[in-house]
Amino acid sequence: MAVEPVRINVTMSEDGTVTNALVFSLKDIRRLREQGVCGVLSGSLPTIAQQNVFLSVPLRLSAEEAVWLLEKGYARANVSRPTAISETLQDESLASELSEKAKLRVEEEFERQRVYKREQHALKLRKLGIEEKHRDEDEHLLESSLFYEVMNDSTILRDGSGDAEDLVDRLKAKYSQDGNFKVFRSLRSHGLVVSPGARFGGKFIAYPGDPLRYHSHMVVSSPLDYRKDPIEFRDIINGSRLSTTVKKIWVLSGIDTQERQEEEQVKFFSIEWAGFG
Amino acid sequence: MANDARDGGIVRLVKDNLAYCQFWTNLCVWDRTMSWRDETVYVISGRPSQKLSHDDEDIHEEYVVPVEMSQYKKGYVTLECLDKVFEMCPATATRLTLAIVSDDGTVAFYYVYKGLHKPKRN
Repeated sequence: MAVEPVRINVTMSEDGTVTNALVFSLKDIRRLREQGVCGVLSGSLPTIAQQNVFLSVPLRLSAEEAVWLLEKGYARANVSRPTAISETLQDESLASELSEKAKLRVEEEFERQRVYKREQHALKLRKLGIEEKHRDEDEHLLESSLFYEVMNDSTILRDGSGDAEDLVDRLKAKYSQDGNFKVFRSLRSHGLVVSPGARFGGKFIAYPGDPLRYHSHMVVSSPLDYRKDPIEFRDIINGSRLSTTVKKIWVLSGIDTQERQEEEQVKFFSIEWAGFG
Repeated sequence: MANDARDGGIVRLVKDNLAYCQFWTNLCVWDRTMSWRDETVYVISGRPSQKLSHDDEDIHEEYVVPVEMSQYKKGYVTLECLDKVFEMCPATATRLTLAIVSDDGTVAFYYVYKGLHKPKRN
């Protein structure tokens, strides 16, 4: 693929599972959408956190989506462990060095703002034909208007992600054994767009195209062991009654580990209430 | 045990339900059964009295598998088992009908399709 891969920020727990996968760039989010990976928008404003209906960037991807993108080469990941920052800061000399740097950066930024504001103030007075006088309250006002911009990324993480490739390989290895991931991958290979399924009591919901254009067709349950796990009829009744009433079909998935071919391992059975009895 | 299921148990119950509640015809409990984990899986074939789904072109033979929904007994029907039942049915069979029998005598019917299947038209 000639196109630059999408960048995702992944945090990974000690056992190699994805705890968080976020995409910050709108351009990237759009490209993922075209790829059939929708994720869930999760960004809110700290001041109006109760407004949680129309959310914004970052886009939060499920672990399956993130690993699938990495595996297909559609995305590159900045992988970090949640403990990375605190571990780095345990080195006290490094911590104090970083804190000094940060203080310096804030001071420089404030000074830049002061100079700019004084200039603007002088310009304005000259325009109005008022003579400039030095007043303490002006100085006070100026000081209180200085602001510090909070950065989107951490300098510690940006500079200290040397082992990222290893971490990506670890992720891929971990998820290649995961039943949910196998099911996700198989659904994707059938051309379906997959989103989280908790709303309908399943693991995944499968759409025939973009969720904004189509209603979903299937509610897919978490995979069973094809040979060992007995089917729980109560689950079938719960799942397929609900699915049928909302014009979907309940899909039982299973993994047959004895199957050699990776693609053949995932088995599906679609279940629908017959409409009588 | 096997004879119980056929004569007085769930197979008879499902067959009667199909005959007298759903008015199916040509009902036949197959002699060919499948042993599965110390249990026996029966198949009942029959013709519904009316077209069952808008997606069906006409009324055709349905293959019903009676199973028991019990809260305390461990289940025995696996996905592999479903595949085996599909193998027992003719190649023209597009679906199985699972007849889930509850301990109060209720029977609920569910279609099982192999693979990913689109939901029925309404």
